[in-house]
Amino acid sequence: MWSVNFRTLWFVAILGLFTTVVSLALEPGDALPEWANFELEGDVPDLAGKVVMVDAWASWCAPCKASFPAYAKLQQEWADRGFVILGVSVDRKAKDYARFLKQTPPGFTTVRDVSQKLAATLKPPAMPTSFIFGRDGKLRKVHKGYRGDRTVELLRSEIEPLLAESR
Amino acid sequence: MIKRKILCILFLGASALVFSGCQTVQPWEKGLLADYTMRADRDSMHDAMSEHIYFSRESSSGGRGVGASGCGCN
Repeated sequence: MWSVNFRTLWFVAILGLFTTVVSLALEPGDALPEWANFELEGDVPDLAGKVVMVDAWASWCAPCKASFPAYAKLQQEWADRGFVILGVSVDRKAKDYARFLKQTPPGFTTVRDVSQKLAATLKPPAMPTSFIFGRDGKLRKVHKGYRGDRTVELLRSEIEPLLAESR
Repeated sequence: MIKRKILCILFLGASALVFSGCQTVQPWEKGLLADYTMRADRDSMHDAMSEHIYFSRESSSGGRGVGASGCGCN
């Protein structure tokens, strides 16, 4: 009896040692996060019925900074059609975040993910990463990194159809 | 049998300690790696002196070019 139990224990333990804990990132079809469940610095605007682009960024990320003018332009251009960009900073230090915002206002609403729990939920594969949600609050596209005009054109081609969808 | 059991438990314990030390730094956790102080070329005086020492010892120079700071931004 003992030997059987011990063998089982041995097998499970070895399996556990060599098994990587797989935690999946958000996938198309997943819903917008429940913002109230996370410790955020700043207010999340009303996103109901809007096309939302959640942009994971950090003050130490140069491509994130480079993306802001283009993203702000998109926000400005499509604001009347119900397009909202919500920046989520993963900065650990509040002063880094505040200093960056003072020096480089992003041109769209941004919050700071104080405990990085939201980042752990979104799991951006790179910095920056854009998560595009449709009017139904479901994730449609994920964009890794920022590659200048190429990224902007891609975003345009993907967001335009979402804006045309009815609520 | 008991000796074998103890050895197995010790092995499992040691393995658990070793494997629990493996940690992947996620993209959003790379702020420290992207810090200016992590840059190899942050001190131009130090670079010049190192280059001079290298040249004096090896009678050659260059080959130090490394791009980016390791933040994984690109």
